[in-house]
Amino acid sequence: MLLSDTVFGMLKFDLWPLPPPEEYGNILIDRTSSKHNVKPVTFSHWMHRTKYTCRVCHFELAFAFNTNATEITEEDNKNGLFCGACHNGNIVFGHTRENCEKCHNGDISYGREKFTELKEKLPKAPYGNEIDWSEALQKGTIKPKYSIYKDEKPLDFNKLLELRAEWSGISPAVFPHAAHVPWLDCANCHPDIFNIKKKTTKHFEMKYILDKKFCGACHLSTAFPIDDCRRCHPKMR
Amino acid sequence: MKARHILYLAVSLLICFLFSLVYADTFGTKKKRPKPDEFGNIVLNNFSEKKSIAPVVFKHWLHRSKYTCRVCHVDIGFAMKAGETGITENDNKNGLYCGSCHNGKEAFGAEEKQFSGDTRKNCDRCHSSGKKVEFKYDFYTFRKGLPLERFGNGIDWIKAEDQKLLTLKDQIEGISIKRKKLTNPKEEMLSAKVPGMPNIIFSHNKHAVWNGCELCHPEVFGVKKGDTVYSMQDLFNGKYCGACHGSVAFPNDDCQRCHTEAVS
Amino acid sequence: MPSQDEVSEMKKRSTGLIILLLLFMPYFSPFASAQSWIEDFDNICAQAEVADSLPTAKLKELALESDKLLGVIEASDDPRKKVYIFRLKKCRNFFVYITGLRETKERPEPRQ
Repeated sequence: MLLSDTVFGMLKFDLWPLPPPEEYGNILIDRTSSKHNVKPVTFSHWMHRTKYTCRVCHFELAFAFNTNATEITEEDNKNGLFCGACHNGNIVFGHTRENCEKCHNGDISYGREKFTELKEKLPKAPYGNEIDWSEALQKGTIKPKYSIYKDEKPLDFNKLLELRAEWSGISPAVFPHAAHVPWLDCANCHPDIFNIKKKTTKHFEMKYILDKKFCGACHLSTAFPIDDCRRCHPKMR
Repeated sequence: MKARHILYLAVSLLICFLFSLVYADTFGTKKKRPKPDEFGNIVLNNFSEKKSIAPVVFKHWLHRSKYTCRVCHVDIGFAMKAGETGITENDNKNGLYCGSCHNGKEAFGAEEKQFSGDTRKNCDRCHSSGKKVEFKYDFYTFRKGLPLERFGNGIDWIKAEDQKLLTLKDQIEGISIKRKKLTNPKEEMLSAKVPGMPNIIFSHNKHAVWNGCELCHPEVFGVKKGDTVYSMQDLFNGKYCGACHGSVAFPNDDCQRCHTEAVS
Repeated sequence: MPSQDEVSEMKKRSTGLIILLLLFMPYFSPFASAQSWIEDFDNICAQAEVADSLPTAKLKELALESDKLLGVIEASDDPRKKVYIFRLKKCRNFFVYITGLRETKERPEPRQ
C-alpha cells in the first residue's frame, strides 16, 4: 500500500482551472437535446439552491448527481417528473413552446446578471460561487425548502468524523454531518456513495475524489471546490 | 531487490483493487433510481427464453391498484422473490398463479374471442421484455388524479385508498378462504442501532391490512426478541423490511418515513 | 324402422341416463376427492387471522392437523396441489411462530 501511494504521490494534483463565480455550478444537459435538434439545456445550481435544498432535487425528484445521467425526456417533464415537478406553469414557468429558450439556449452563463445581484446579499467565500452557502443558510439569509411533499425538517444528526489522511504530513480531514444534514438527506450519500457497513469506506483518497467519486460527487463543481483545502483539512499548513 | 519491489507493488495494487470491488458495491457513486413507471416491475424468466418467447414483465403498480398483497402472495401462492415461483404455461392454463385471474373472466386470458369471430392472442401483453408493446393501461394516465409522493411509483397508495380513489379486492372467489376479521397487533417500536438516528415506529395496522399475518411471519420476520439485531445493510440486501421496501413498496432511501420517533 | 313410440321411449331413457351421469360425474373427476381436503384446508388456515386470540393448545393442534393434511395433499394428484402445499405451509409455520413467541413470553397467552 505504501509503495503504491509513494508512486502516486510523486504526481501532483492537477486541479483544473475553476470557471468564473457566476458560472460555477452551471451545467449543460445534452443527453438527447442535440439529437432532437434542440439546443442543450442550461441548468444553474446557484439559481435553484436559494429556493430548494439539494435534497429536493437529488432525493425527492430523483435527479442523479452526474450530468446526463438522469433520463429526462420532454414527456417526463410534461408528466410532472424531474424538471416538470416545478416547471409546470403553476409553481414556475412550464415546459411550453414560448418558454423553450429559457432553458434550451446552450448558454452556460445564462442568467449572469441576476448572479451579481444575489452575490451582494450573501456571505463571501474564497472559491466556487464565492458565496458561503452554509453560512447563508445558517443565518437565514436564504430559506431553501427542505421538502416539496411534506412539512419535514432535517434530522438532528450531527456526528463529526475525523478521517485520517493516507499520506503522512497531511492533517486529517474533518467531516461534519451538521453542515451537510440541512442540505441533504441521509440517502443522498448512504449507502451508495458512502457505504454504511462498518469501516468499509476506506478508499476516498484524493485521486478518487478528483474522479467525481465520494466527496467529489459534489465538491468539484457544485458545492465549494476542493481547491479550498483548509475547509476540510483545517489544520493544514 | 528491484524485481521484488515491483512484485510487491503489483500484488498490493491487486489487493487494493479486489478490496474495493468486494467492499464498495457502488464505489463512491450513486446507483441509478428506477423511474416511477418502472418501479416495482419485475422480469420473470424461468422458462420464457428457453421456449423462445420474450420474458414476462410483471407490473406491480397495475396489480396493487386492484388487489391486496395477500391475494397474490398468500392465496394464489406467489413467492416473494422474482423467479422463485417457477410459473409454467401449463400452470396458467390449469388456473394456477397468473391463470387464477387471467382466464378471460377476472382479467384478460391468453386468448380472446373478438366480436368479429377472430381470436386475438394476448401473449405480448405479458411477454414484453425487450419488446415495444402498445399497452392498454398507461402509467402516467393512471397516475393523474392520484395523490402523489416521492419515491417508488410516486403514488401515495395509502392516501389513494383513504380517499376512495382505489378500492382493493382482498378475496378471489374460489381461491381465497373466507377469513375472519383480523385483529391487528399493536405498533412496534424498533430502536435504531446508530446513536442519534430516531427510532422506528412500525405500524402493524398499515401493513396487515394489505398483507395479513402469514405473508411476513415467519418467512420475512421470524426474529424473536433477543435474536441478532439486524442492520440497514440487511435491509438493503433484501432481507426483513427490504423484502418489499426497495423493490415494490417505498424504498429504504426514504429514511424519515420510518425513523419517525424523536430522539430525546 | 323403430316406431314413433319406440323412438320417444329411447329418447326418455337417454335423457334419464344423461341426467344420472351429470349427477354422478363430479365424483369421477380428480377434483372430486380434492373437495374434502380443500374444506379441511379452509378450516385450518382461516384460523390464521385470529391466531393471536387462540389458546396455545389450539395452535399446537392446528399445526399438527396441518402436518397431517400436508401428507394428504402431497399424495393427491390434483394439479393445484403445489399451491395448496405452499399456502398450508405458510399458515402452519405461522401457528408454530406464534406458539414460539408465547413460549419466550413475547406474546401473552390470550385471556379466556
